[in-house]
Amino acid sequence: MNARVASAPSRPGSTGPSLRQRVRTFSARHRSISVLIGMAAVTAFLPIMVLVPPFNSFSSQGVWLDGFTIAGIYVLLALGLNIVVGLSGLLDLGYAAFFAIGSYAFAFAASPFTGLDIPFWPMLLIGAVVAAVFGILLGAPTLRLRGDYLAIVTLGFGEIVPIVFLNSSTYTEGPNGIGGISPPSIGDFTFPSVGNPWPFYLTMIGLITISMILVYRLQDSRLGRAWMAIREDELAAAANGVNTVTTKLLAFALGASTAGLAGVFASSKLTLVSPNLFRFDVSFTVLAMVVLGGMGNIWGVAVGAFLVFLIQTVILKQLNVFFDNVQVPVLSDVDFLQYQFLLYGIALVAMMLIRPEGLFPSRRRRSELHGDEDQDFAELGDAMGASPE
Amino acid sequence: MTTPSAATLGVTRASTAESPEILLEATRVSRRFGGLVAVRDVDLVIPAGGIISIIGPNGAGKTTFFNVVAGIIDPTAGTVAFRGRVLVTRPRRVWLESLSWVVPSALAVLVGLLLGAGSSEAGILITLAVALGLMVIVLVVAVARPAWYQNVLARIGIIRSARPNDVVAQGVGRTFQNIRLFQNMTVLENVLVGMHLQLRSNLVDHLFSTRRQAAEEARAVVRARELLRLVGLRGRDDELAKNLPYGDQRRLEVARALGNDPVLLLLDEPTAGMNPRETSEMMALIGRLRSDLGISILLIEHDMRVVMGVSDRITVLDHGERIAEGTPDEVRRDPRVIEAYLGKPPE
Amino acid sequence: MTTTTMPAPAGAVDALRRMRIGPYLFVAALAVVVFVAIGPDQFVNALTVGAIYALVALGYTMVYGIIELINFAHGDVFMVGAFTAMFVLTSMLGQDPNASATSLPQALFLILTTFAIVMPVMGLLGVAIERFAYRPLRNAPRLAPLITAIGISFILQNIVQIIYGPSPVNTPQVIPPTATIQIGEFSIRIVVLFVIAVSVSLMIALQLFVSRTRLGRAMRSTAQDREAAQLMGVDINRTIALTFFIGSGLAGAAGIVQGFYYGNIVFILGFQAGLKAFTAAVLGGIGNITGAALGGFVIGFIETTAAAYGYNQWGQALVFAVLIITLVFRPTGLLGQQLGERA
Repeated sequence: MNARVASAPSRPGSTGPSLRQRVRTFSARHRSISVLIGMAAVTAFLPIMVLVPPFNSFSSQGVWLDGFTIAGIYVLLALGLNIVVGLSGLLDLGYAAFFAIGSYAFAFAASPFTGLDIPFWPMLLIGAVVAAVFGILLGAPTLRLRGDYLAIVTLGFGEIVPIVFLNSSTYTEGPNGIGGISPPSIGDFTFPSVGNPWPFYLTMIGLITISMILVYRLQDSRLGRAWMAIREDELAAAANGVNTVTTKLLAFALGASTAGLAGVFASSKLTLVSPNLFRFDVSFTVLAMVVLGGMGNIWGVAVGAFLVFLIQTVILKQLNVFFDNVQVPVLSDVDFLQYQFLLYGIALVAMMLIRPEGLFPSRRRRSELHGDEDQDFAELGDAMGASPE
Repeated sequence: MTTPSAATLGVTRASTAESPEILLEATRVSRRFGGLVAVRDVDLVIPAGGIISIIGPNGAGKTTFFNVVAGIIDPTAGTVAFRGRVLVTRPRRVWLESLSWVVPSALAVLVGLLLGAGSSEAGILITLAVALGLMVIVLVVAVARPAWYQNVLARIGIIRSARPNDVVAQGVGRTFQNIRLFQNMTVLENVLVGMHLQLRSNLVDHLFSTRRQAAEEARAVVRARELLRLVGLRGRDDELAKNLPYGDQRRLEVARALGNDPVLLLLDEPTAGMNPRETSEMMALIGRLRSDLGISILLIEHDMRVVMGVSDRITVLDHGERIAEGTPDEVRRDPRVIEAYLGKPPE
Repeated sequence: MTTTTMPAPAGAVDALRRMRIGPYLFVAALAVVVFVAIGPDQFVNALTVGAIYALVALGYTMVYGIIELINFAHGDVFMVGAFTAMFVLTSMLGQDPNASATSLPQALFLILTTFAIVMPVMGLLGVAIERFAYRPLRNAPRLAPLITAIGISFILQNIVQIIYGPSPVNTPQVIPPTATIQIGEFSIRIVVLFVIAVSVSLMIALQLFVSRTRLGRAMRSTAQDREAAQLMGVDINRTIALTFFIGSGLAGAAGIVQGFYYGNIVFILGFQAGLKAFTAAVLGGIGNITGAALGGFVIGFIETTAAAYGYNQWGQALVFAVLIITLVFRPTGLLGQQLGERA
């Protein structure tokens, strides 16, 4: 679908209509290849970007890459939640629960607390499956509920899971969390948690690339069409033979499995899990990322997640450093660290008011068969269709 | 889900099972909303190849009856059988169904506790794992083998009526009175969703983008284009459904309903809001559906010209009850029909 | 007309179901069970907690009923209300955290002034939030206002945190917490009676307003069908603003009694209470005012019972578990509309 956006990161400077057209056609035909090209460009671009001003004034390349790796966790989460919220139109306010389940799954599997040491790579899959199972367990009885009743049930689930981890101290170390989780390793090489950020960074890029390709394939399949049909009109979808219960359950399970994957990676990267890492604010932040990125648009959601994370954890925290450096009289006296959540809230409201349909709205574009002038007209018409009528 | 109800209700209809000509048989269908009886004891038979119409004044229960037949609303009494298999029926004790997910696990926990698993940590963990596993198994069975699962439920007295997609799987397509297209999907995608049950690719195919899936999708697109040509929407594949003119939206809905290769099509006021030219085009299309594709049709219509022109037989509803049934000529002359439409003549 | 016999209804159960007293019986039965389980003292606490949740839940349910928005900022309006009440009281009583009214007239004066100031101010805050954060997005994709609601929630929390700090702040208890009234052999704290009386009378007032007045009718018609109401001459913007004004005013009242009852407040209190109040609204059937009140009491019962048996930290999980189970069996809440069409 979103071939135009898909090609954008790989071809930031392409302006000629015919070239753009060709890129578009190419990326629609060979979606996986264009994701690979795009992600390769991102992988190479980010480390270089942070070496030039103003980015290099904040912190070193290593710290930046570490930050990008953490941001990648959120990108994964947003990709997964996009299946549930963006493609299928189910409001999930407790998505962090599945993230928590994936994280704890790896914490149990590879930490001194349980004494087990199952390697990271198979656990990626196992964590995803475990999270999917919980997704199905929650979804099966509740997916019949109408939109906002589902929202509150998921919100409740998102609250229950951390509370269970918090209060079952015997099995989870309670509020202290489980520490000393093993990092991934390949052969004899163990990923360093400090110092060299590259192994984690590249692993993250790999996970995002694979997830993106898979989500694109799902979106373009019969299942993806069924999801969108349910989002558009659930009753009509059922009346056309879509088993809405199973289809929604699959969306839930696949969304949850992506969160499980992200969770396994996160606990391995942070070497520590504790219940307060998975509270409602994580669910809400990921939801904000999906909505801001432009629901349903896979690249848009990924970029949206990246931007929101950078705003929330890097830029707002670095404002002090920044204004100290540039010596603006009033601003350098203000302690921005104190106001970071306030500014985050303002940023959320402002971005939503400026672009209610998200930064990169999912445009239902015309086929590549049509001419360019047609194409642009269709996109314009579309963007207006998405906003007030 | 196939036929839990037929077996358990003991209402297998010998007559319909033996004569394959009858596609759909509704028997004493009733639907009550609170104190209001929207449909009361309506019988209807649709023979293969027939065009049957339901007419009646506003609020006569036509659409409610339609929704019951399509599995969207459960009847409060009566059954609807498709080719001799009772699918739509009054649900019994469905609220117990949720329990069926929990009961095996609860039993496992109970057994675990009785065996003394509560005393050791390993025992607790094993019991919990077994309970969780059972729950997952029940769920997987319910999703993967719905027919078998429904049968088991029916045996313990939990009877669920068919859901809309079960009815579609029996070869029944439908359109809606107020058009319900997938607005933000393209014309082609709308038809492809209509073909959902015809496509067989599964999750593995989706994730690995297999050749099988690619071939199937290519065939599906060809077929969808054929259907669009049939209803007169050729070359409009990539327009968004919401951007189509009204009459085209109605026709797209018909194409979408045809996607599943139905043997019976339920059309809910297919010419509502159309101008005379569009109406006659739609009538011609309905005729073609029967003559070219051999599809039987159940039609709700207000426009008497349409109804009298295309129908084999007409059922007249008023206040939820069937007040007349017969050929167009019989119905036209029936005094009760005239009364229902025009009011009682002064004595 | 041929009269045909309807299939025999399932009898008394069906008749009762149609009268829809089932949910009330359920709550009454729950109340009895809780009363027996935790004793009269704790039961009164449960009622008080429930009354506060119910007051907050009213705002959620009204806003949802009229614009189908989960107003996540509402819990924080409640919190801001509690802090505003504290501000008003401390400016009248001085900074002494243990100050309380010395005489009955003074207490009455303080209470009335607080309500007279806080409720309209919170109402205006709610209207302002609606005007700037929700109204511009009324025709935007449905999730857009949800995100701004979350943003507003962050903003309110952090403004209060910046002003009053992250730790709990004492608030003057105008009604001395030790003052009791003797009824038979039970002694009940006056503040408890006060909280329950205020909540119940506000709920009744709201119910009367919505069902009896012209503005209330406008609200109901807008909730039913916005476009039709507009065609009939209802000023939609004003009606929605009014809804926010009333809902936020009630949240302000809840904030006041929260301070009176607990004696200290903290900036994070809004979100947690908001979640539970929203749960109450959904439990009762969202959009339904009586339902929100019932739901609030149910949640108060559950939480207090859990606390009474020493499972304090499980209270919240239990509340949500009850919610999930209730919705599985009654998909639209206790008093919600049962849907005609299922999909």
